Amino acid sequence: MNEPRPTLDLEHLGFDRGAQVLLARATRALAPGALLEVCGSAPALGVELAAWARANGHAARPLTDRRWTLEIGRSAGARRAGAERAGLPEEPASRAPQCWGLAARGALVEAGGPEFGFRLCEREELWTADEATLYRQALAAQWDPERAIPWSAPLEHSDELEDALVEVLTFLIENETAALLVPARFAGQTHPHFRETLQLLAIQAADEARHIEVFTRRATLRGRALGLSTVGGRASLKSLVDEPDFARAALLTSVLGEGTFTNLLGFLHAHAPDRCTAEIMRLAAQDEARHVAFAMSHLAHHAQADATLLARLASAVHQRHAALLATSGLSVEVFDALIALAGGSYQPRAIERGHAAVVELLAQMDAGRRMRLRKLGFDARQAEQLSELHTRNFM
Amino acid sequence: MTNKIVLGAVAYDAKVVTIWDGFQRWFASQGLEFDYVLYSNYERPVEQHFRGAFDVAWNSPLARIETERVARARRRTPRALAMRDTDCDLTSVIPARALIDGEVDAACMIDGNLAAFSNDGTLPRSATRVLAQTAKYDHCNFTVLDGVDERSVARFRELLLGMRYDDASVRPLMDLEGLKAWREGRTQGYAQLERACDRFGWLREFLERMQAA
Repeated sequence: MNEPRPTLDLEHLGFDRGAQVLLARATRALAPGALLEVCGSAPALGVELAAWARANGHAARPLTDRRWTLEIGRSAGARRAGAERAGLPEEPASRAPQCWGLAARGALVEAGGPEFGFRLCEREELWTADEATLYRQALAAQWDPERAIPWSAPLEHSDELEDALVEVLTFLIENETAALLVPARFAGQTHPHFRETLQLLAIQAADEARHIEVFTRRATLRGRALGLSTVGGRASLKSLVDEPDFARAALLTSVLGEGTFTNLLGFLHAHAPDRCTAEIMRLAAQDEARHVAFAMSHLAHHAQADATLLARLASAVHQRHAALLATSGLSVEVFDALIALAGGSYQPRAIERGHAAVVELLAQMDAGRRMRLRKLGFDARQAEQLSELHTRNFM
Repeated sequence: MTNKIVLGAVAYDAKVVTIWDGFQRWFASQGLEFDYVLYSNYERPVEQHFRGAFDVAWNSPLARIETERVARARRRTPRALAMRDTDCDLTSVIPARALIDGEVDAACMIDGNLAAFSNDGTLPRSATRVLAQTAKYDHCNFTVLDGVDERSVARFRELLLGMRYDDASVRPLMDLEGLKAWREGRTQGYAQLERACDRFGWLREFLERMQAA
């Protein structure tokens, strides 16, 4: 017994009104060799149907002047031959092939096409299940400098103290520039299949762009000249910008550098000479804490999957230390400025208080670094030694 | 000895280079050394084909007829190797009041263009009526002349006919060249055009120049 032949009635639709949509839909499920009966009353439908069929590898034959048989060609569905799903929307593949390119995660990827050159394409070194949450938190915590900072709060301190603040802000701007460049560079090397990693790197770069803006705006608020950019500072930051390995860069820049900066920004929040500066430091410290959490998350995950990672990370700290041995570390100007800010004036007793506060800050920075290193899996002695080797320049 | 084919074609669009560069790489991966020569018009390749400048001509319908006529005069034997599936059984149509600026009342176009112009809204069909449609005809054709290296030609033809649209390594090239499959070459689809050429004396000048009139 013959199966009833599938029929498509286009009614009055011609190719100027979307007939091809219904034809594509009706032929999609048909196998090569299958027959579809098409009818319709649009003028010259037969001319266009024959042309459409030919272009799509099918053959159209007239039955009457309003009725045709469409024979499905051999190439039907061939575009999907060899196509594969680019992982699952909710969970990436363990390794993202270069040919997936920029395809949405979970998309059906047509076989063939160009190979991309994303250097970072292994899930274990990039991606953790926490990243989606971290990204959402980062997004929710974005702040608008215009509205979040009390730019017109009174500045009642002396020019000398303002100069100390500007010295520190000059140092911060330079450091935050490194903290922008490092994630931005790795973002360009990250396979977009690891969407959350890419999003976090991008928002991290955007955070730093905002920090650079607010630090610059505050530094110039009273019209004072900017401070000093030292050779030692630049050498220290260059070693971060040049680090080619994602995990090593995350340890040096985020865990140790930005980790140390959360203490520094907290200190500046507490000792800010004005409300505007205090608010800037509070908001920047929040952002930096998220950057540290992101690095901690993927490094801890990576260390569990790769037993050699901790040794590689330790060697990164040793190498950076050796490379910076000949440099002077934190500039005297910044160190002295921090003391003055913490003291609140240049009176001897105030300076004494400020000095004690900075010594306490250095101890807190060291304790924070050791705690984070321990969390990554280093033992107490290693953590102490690595924290000790971290750059004097804070970042 | 390596199989080698040099193709002569017309650079009607910049994408022609992309297409033949792509096929060149693919043929090389299949052990066929392939190169191509491009011309800026449709007549010179016919002339050059008879001078042996290349092995296979990618002939338009008119070039195919010209080749046929010159070959007849010079006692050579042209052979159609293969063609695109989308070049078989075309028709041309004359839609009336088709051109929207109102300056022209009718035009002649390939049916595929009519469908494409309808689809993209260039020709709203409410303002258009198809006045006439030609009988079916064929378009481009790979043509060789006698004396060509038969082994290389056989390999070239075999590779063309073996290309499959579900092969991801050639599908982008087939998309660019606008076909789903290569078919056996045939020549009966040029009879209408040949009659029209004779009727209007279209080929006379060229054939005289080629001393084939």
